[in-house]
Amino acid sequence: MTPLAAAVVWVGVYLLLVAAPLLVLLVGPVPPGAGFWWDFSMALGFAGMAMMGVQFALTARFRRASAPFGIDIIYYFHRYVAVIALALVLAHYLIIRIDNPQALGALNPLETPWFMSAGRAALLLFTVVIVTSLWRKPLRIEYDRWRLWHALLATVAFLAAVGHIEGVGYYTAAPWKRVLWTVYTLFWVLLLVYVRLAKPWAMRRRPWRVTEVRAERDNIWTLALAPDGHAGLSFAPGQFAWLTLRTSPYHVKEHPFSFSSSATNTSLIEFTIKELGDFTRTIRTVQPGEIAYLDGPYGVFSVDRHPRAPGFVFVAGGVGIAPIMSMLRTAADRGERRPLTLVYANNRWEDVIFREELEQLRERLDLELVHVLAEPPPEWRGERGYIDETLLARRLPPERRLFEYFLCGPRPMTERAQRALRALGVPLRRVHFELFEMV
Amino acid sequence: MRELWVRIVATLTGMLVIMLALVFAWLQSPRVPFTAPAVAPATPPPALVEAGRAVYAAQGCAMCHAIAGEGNPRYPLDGAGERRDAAGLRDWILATGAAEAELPARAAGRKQAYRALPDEQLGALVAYMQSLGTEGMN
Repeated sequence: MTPLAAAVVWVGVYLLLVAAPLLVLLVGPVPPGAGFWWDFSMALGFAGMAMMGVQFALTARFRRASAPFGIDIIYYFHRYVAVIALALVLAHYLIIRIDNPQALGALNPLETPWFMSAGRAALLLFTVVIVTSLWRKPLRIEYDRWRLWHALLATVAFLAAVGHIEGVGYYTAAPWKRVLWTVYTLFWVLLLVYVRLAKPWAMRRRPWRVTEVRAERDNIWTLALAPDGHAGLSFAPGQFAWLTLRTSPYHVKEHPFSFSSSATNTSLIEFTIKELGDFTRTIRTVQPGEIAYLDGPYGVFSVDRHPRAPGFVFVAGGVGIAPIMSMLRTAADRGERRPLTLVYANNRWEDVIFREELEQLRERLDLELVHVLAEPPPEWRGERGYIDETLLARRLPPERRLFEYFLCGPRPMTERAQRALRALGVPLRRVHFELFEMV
Repeated sequence: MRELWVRIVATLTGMLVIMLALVFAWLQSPRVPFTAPAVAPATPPPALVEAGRAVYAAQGCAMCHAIAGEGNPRYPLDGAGERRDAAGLRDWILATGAAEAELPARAAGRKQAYRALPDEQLGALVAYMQSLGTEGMN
């Protein structure tokens, strides 16, 4: 199956899963209606819940289902759809609030049936879950803590909403509908067991050993891992994996990093990591022999997705060179003959990691290497400033519209490069980048 | 490019479920028509009816029932006084007698709680139900 066909199939599966509960409600014994707005509100509630349920599947990292899209975009979708689902659930409540407030009963949980309070609690918790996710950084919530609470609150909110529906029990009064609805909803929650127990268990059975922690420049480190008692991992150059260090996979304290080593070597893999946060600052203290766990590979940011491209252009900024380094090293190992261009932006010459190896790669590849420095030394004769349209127009090959482009670096840089490429007539579909802030 | 596709699929999903919800609301049959008066309407004393109205509000009956369009429209009570006599209404409030078998199991279960109501409150509630005609109904 081609990636496009697979993508269409999985989108179809998604739509079916979301629509299924409403379709089931429509068949068989449908209870009498109670007026348009009332029935519309109820349907919105069920629809919102179906979307919330599938949210659990979207982040369970099913490799086969995420492969055609890239897992980063699945997370992006998860985030986008959550807002729509919340809007539906809020509309469910607001329609009754406006049209028929007496039917909601008292706000005080002591004076109202438990399932009405459960519905209110679900509404509140869903809102909290989404607000803390959309604005995690401004709210200064630390990533690992957020991840734990996100799963916990989302599950409690979802179960409260399931309770609300079961308690009201109007549409689910027919026994078979009740069973179907219960199985459908609890299935999503069972996915958590898969993510939190089955997956870590599988990771524990395939441990890795740190063989080397190598200092690059500019507080950047390369971490080399070898498989411990298994065959290793085969990946496409440019992909990434979630790395767990110094803790059990059951704690789910993992961080995503791109592979920087050649994909032709499955028994020694490397990540190149910059000290940017609490976790990445510990990389320098890691000792050879320590155990690591990996969940991967993931991602569609790879030259391997475009076997028929006449050539490739890579645009890297700083440590964003890591996945591109993997693609270049792999290309050299595979004897790649197509024309390659690397536009590599850094602040200072002394920060440029892999610059010696890139020189060597030029001998093994048809590689045009363009260094761009924001703060060049006085004797610098190469490109300076930032990557923009005039620079790319000057340095890219004339047949540039047919090439595939891979951008990786700080967001302002990739955005500027995207605009420049668009202005140069490069079709959007040929410009690739990973939404790393999503994973 | 991929983000654009995500926004399209997400928006289409939202539109699809809203459309299904609209179809659902539209397909649902209209309210069940009321049956013809079965009992002669009683005229309970107004003070008792008022007391019953207060019991109705205090017990949160509107969560499951509607009167003149206010409250849960699933089970409207308009015309209750023309469909059942005092004993029948009492049975339906408490899920006793014939009503116990006729009510959905869940509803019967919930209504048993009202068996703990003091007699005078129950009497007032029955009087209030008796006062409900179909007049002024929408």
